[in-house]
Amino acid sequence: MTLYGIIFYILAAVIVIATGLAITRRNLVHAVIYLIISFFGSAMLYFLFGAPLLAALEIIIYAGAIMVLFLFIIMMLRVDPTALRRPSLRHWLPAGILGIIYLAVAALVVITDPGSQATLKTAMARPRALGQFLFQRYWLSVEIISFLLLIALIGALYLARAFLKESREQSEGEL
Amino acid sequence: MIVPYSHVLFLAGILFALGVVCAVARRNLIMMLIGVEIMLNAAALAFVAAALRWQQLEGQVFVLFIFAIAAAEVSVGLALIVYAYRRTGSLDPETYNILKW
Amino acid sequence: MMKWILFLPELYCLLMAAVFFGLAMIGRPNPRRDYFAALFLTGVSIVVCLACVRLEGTLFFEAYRVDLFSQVFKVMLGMGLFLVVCLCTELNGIEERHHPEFYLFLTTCTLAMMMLVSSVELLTIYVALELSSYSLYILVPLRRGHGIDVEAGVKYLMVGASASAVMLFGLSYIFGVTHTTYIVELIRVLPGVITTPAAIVGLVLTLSGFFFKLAVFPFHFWAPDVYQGAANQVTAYIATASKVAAVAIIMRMVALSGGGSTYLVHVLVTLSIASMTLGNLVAIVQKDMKRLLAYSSISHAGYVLIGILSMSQTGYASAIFYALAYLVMNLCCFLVVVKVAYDGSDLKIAQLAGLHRRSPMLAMALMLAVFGLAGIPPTIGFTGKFLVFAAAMEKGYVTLVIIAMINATISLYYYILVVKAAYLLEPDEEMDRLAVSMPTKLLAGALVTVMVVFGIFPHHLLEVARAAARILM
Repeated sequence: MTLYGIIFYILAAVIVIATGLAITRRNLVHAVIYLIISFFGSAMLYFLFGAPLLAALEIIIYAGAIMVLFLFIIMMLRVDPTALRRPSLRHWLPAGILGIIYLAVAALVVITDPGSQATLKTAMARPRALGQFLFQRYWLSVEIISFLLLIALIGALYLARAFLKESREQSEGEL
Repeated sequence: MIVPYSHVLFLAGILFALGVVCAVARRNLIMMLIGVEIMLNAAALAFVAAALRWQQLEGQVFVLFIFAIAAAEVSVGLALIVYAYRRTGSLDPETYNILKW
Repeated sequence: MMKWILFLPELYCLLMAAVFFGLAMIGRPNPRRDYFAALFLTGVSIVVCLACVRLEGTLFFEAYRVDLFSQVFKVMLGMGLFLVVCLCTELNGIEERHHPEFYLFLTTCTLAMMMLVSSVELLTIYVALELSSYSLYILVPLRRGHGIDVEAGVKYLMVGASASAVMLFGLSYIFGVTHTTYIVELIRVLPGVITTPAAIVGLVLTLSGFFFKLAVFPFHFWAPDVYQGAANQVTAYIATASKVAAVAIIMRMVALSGGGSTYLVHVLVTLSIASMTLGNLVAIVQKDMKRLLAYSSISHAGYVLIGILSMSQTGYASAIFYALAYLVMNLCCFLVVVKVAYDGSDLKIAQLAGLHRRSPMLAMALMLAVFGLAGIPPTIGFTGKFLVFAAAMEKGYVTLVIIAMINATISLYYYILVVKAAYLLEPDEEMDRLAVSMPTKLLAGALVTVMVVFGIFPHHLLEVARAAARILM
């Protein structure tokens, strides 16, 4: 086993354990923190797999922006961790069965696919090459996704305004 | 030489299963959204590994788009969740029973 | 320069979106202005789509293909958008100052679906699908002050986001197996590796993202709630145009397998039977008209799948025909829903009582549309079902067709209940006649004519559908 292999297995263990801890926490803030650790692990894996730009973006966007947004909302809503019901067996059971079935399928896929035994060789995609490739070959998709972000922006704005208006009407009613 | 491709796929599979469990089992809208994020992350990992396996950039481009989608999803999703929370005072989807689940 | 002509319908949609975006920025609400602007612009969009129907070519590094298949679906999408806008004369379900946003999201969704039916590259397909989904996620909670709309919106988003994540994971498998994202390449490579579990699992997981759009069995449970929770016009759009696009893209993806995989056929058969049976059985107990239509749409998704899983040219052609038939019939149903529940509320089936005296025209339109959905001749619905079943028989799926026929018979029961409510039941209290305007009457008349005429003489449409399906093979 090479050094890279050892690094991979350590990172994999960190990611799986952190994610597993994250999804079982009752306290949402703890869950988010564990998830950030998991995303850091993924970012390092991307680095190992020769995608430095993606590794940086994973930290900036996923661990940075998205998780902070979650934290922000959790704190804003002041969710009381003790008020959250512990998921009962009734909820865990279908999820667990689904997960096990899925894992079995994944294992089957991995075992039976002959090509998947191919060992990954180290390589690196330079950010410049990736950027050029992206904006040459995929600029239609870039346009579509920018449009999507615009739509998401308008939608979030609308939802926030609708909420503001309602709360204003409510407070007027109380007066 | 790092590891066989199948090991990465298996890791992605475990992550994905964890995400599914989180999205299905947790009775909390925020945790459900987090579950979806974990699923997206698993898919991104599989894409990066596939890109390395074939030495093709398409896989990495896909991951960039996954980031953008995840950002859009979180912004709209959290806006909706906050709106719903102010209306019902709960994050538990089972209290939303005007419509049957 | 000539190449841009190929992109004309999409560019036109983009222009429409820009106009509505501008209208949304102007502060003062003016519903009449918005309505007529939308009516005019979407009317022109049909003309644009029709003018471009014969174009062929590829754009954007072969990621985008314009051919008869895509153009036929673009015409259907343009028609769907126009007809939904026609239903918006009294848009009471949505606050007046949000009307431009409503039209904006409808347009962007249509734009995304037009790009979806033309894309032949996985990333473009995925991104276009997401754009259409997000427009709909925001349209659902636009409804005025009900409370159920937010709930429906949250559900729609959660199920939709999960489905898209599942689909993405499937795409990663497909890319991992075939190392290409182009459909042309996939058609070449995938049949060779279709027997490996990775390819099958990848394809099935990918399809699940589209099954969510079509409300096929394991991804169906958003449909009833979203149909009920969204404003009537939004529901009309979700139930018609978005279904058409989903059918188109499922066909493209299934055609990828080249018909070589019995596993895939088994999966599709199972899903088709489950959707039909579940949709029809649960529809029987529904009291709300929109919920009933939701369950009926789940069962119709099952029927369409029969045509698709035949994986032959006749099969695909029949599915295209069925999609068109479904578009017309469902829009006719929603026309009645929108007009009877003119205040934007939900319509109970019991509220249809005495409709034949309140408005004979609407009652007749409803009866024909419902008979069409049930598959009674001489409507277009019967022809569609007949074609789909015939395509499946050709392939020897006798059991499947028998089950589908039993299902069609079960569905007859609840469709008849609707007609009975409209024609035989008397309302508890005397209700006024419905004021139905002349354009509405014309629209209802046109839809009825289309349903009957193309039900009896389907040849021309079928020719077009065959020609479009040939491209998939």
